[in-house]
Amino acid sequence: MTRAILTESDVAKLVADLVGAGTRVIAPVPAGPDWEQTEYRPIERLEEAVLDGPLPRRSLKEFFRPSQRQDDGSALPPQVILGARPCDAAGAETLDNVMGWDYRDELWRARRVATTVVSIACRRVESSCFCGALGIGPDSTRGADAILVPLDLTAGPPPSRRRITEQLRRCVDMFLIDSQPFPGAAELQIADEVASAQPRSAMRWAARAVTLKGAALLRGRGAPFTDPADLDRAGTVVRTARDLVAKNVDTLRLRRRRARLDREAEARLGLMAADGGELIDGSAGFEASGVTRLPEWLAQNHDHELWKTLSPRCRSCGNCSAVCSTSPCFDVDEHDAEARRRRAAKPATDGGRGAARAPRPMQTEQFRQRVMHKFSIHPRRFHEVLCTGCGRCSRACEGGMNLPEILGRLVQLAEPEPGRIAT
Amino acid sequence: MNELRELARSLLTSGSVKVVIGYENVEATRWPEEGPRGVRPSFVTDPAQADRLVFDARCVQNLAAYLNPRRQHLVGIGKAAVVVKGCDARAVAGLVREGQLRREDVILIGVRCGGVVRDPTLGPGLTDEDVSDRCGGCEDREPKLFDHVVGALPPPPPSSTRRADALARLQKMTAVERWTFWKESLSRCVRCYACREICPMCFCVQCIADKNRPQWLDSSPTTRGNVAWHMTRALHQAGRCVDCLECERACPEGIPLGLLGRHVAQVVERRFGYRASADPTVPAPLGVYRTDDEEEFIV
Repeated sequence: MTRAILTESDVAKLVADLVGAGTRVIAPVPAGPDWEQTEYRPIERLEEAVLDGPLPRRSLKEFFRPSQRQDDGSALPPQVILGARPCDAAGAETLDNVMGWDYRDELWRARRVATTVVSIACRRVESSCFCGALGIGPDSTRGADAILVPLDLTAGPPPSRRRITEQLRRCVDMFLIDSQPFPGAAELQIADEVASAQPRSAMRWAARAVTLKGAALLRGRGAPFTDPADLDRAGTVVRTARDLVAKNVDTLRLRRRRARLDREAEARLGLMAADGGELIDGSAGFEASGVTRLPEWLAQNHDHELWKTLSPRCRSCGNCSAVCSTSPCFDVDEHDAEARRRRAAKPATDGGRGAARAPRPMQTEQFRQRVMHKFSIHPRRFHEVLCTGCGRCSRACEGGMNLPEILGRLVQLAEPEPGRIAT
Repeated sequence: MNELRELARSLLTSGSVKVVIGYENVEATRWPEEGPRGVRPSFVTDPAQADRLVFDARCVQNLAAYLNPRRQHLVGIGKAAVVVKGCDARAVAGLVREGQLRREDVILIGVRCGGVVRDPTLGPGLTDEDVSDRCGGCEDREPKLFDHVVGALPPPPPSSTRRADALARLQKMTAVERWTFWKESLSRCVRCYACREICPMCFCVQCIADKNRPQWLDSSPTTRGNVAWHMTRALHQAGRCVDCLECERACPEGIPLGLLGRHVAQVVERRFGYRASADPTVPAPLGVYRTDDEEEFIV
């Protein structure tokens, strides 16, 4: 498959060419009250995007199943998602199972076909990330059509840089109609200028196509992959991120043995590219070791005493489900002879009233259903967990619920330490 | 803090309560060396665990929400003691006033408050930028409704006029401009109802938004339906909203719901001389009928 070294100007040209050809390009852009968060949004130029920023607030699923307004799917422009997180790319592919199962969702499928996902291997690992416990990693290629691996741990803009793009400024001006500068505008402007004045080295990426769609996108882009030192650089970035994820996973007790990238795997990483094979192996070094027995254990322990104590702080706001990269739940509203889909977490809240009343009125039951769905019901049908470890649910929770923390407790029950008896 | 922990321990040991609802540090499960990452609600049932409880400027959550009768899983644990700031106590008073909670069924641990941050991961120091909008002009730093009160009164928070300014600007706009502002803001709503779910005062057994026979509100996230939902909720909260801003904190789209609530509260205060009170025996305008109510708008 196509491999290349891309510089920032190569990627900028890629974006310009795509936009020029009428393709919708989606990338993480600054968002949130301080512009210090990011979210996936359509961009016109690469400068609007923050490819190495924090994890975007919401996952990619809304670009395959828009959360609001009617979903007629008629004139679908081709779209390219640039800088998808590996967990989000994997999440979209995981959802393909559900969306193409007994009822084949043509609208979902049309959007998936029209979309090319270019993911970017994570340099920054957040403290809520636990992808390594679920069989993917910070450089996983699952669900991606191509992947970019940064060649340097520190190159690029300083991570805490605040910046306001023209687009955002317009948006802010629109909200404050009397055109007064919004609070903090001056400070942000200064921070932005200071950040831009700092010396920075340009970002470079090792790009690899994973699918034919990805190969078509990368064809003729960038420089050929010739310098063996670039391979070491990519390896360092990947290993550093994997070690950070492994540390999270161990701290959370999501598995007992640290499945770090071993010497052999490291050597393979080098060999593979040297002999013309794959540049980076998507999930080497990670196995879904922690959760293998969980689906069965959960199925047998539906009435375990533990459930009553796990979710006291949940207030059913449903934000966990809304930001989830794999939650497929939606509602259908019928109005004016149109059916519209609305992203919803109804199975998790006390709504979901159809013919009957709320099926799960208690928060404890709702949370149990959330865990059961992701780690038992779905895996028993599709042989994979319905979670990619992006950690958004614990970041978004207003009550401080922490899925990986709870999962750690469940894993320890399902797969007790040698010599310990499961309770 | 020790005073709070001692009190919690003795309440649990003596059996006067089954659970103490307070705040705890979020820590140690992830990056221990980074220290606590904010606070979250804590449910202490074991006296030995009372040392988990903390209280400082990070404790923004309104724990009165856990006394809402919709939280059946907590009702099942037994009688609760709840850590309440002066402002949160007004929500407890609201629940008692409206018959959702019997005052004797809960023990209130009042804490003296020096203001809280916007988001529990900020602080504990309070800066102009970090202080919650709810703390501007606070009159409840000294709790008024409590069974026990702990802690010394901290210095007042930095006075933030952020929200007062925004509200004044909004109120100065022409109707067309204001409509544009709210239309833009509310068009972002995805109708997840996080605002309702997290609200201590939203306790309807069946919300009007869930009724479909007849269907009062357009339930899909269109601007028309969104405006109907938020206006209906704002009016239903008139004089009941305690301005804890949990809805604004929970909103995944960052809609400034607090501005709406604050505006309605100002109207109620102007027209009825009533502000959501910490005294459960004071009737609220929405719950009483008075023959001398002004009704010039009816004719």
